[in-house]
Amino acid sequence: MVEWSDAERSAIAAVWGKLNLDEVGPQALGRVLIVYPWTQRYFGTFGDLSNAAAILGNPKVANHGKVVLGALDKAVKNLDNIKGTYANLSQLHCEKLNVDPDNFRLLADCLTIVIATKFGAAFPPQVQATWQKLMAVVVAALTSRYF
Amino acid sequence: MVEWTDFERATIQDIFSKMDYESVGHNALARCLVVYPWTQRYFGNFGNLYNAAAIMGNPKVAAHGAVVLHGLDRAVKNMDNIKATYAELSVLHSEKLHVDPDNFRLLADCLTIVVASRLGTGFTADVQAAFQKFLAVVGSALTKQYH
Repeated sequence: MVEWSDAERSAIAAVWGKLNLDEVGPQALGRVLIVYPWTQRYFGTFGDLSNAAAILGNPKVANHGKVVLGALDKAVKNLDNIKGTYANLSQLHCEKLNVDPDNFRLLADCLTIVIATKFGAAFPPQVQATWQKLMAVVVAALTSRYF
Repeated sequence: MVEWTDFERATIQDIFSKMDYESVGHNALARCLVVYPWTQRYFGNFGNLYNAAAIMGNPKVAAHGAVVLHGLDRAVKNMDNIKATYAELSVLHSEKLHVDPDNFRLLADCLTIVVASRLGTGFTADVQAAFQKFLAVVGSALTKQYH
């Protein structure tokens, strides 16, 4: 089981508490689709993804970004059982959505970058390390039902 | 050969022309050592790397961070021939320093986060894509002479 120190728990709560999920979700997903264009293959029904402006202005991308960040809330509120919390989502992504699990890491990276742009100096190395640990645990949990 | 759009060239020149090499280099290398602690194995003679505060305050880390960032300058000034520009550095990192090339990506990620935190909203998705492409080309060039 993943161990979280008190400092890590407070750091995560502090970061999460300052995030506007409705803003950050769309930005993170938008960046994934722009910076790693092959990920667009999963969103064939989303309409115009032909360039950065179209992606960032696309309402389906925005909505889906909010859905994803909303789901991340479950991990933040269940730090001691992220794997159990995401068991069903993991199965969904594998068996129904057929998402290559490498893409979870790409989204985690883009989310970390969005946080860095918003927090600036308030995202020091220790906080970054804690945040990336959370991302790694979430990615592992989402991948856990693949095999 | 790597093709660069006008936007990508302008973006890279712009980011580096405004960069505080000493501060950004220090910050990026320190983050690498904090977030990916196994990288400390390459810096056995740097003294105290015991915790985040020690790493951030370590003058050898600061100095070496600046060296690495200034090394990136060569790529910035020779974007059309990054591979040849880094041929010797690649041999050095492989045969003398024995650095696992995965670590180039880790340092690139930390550098991206530092630049993101400094530029804030100016680090748009398009700018992120250009910057990550640049660092990927650099990483690839540094890995070129390994085999």
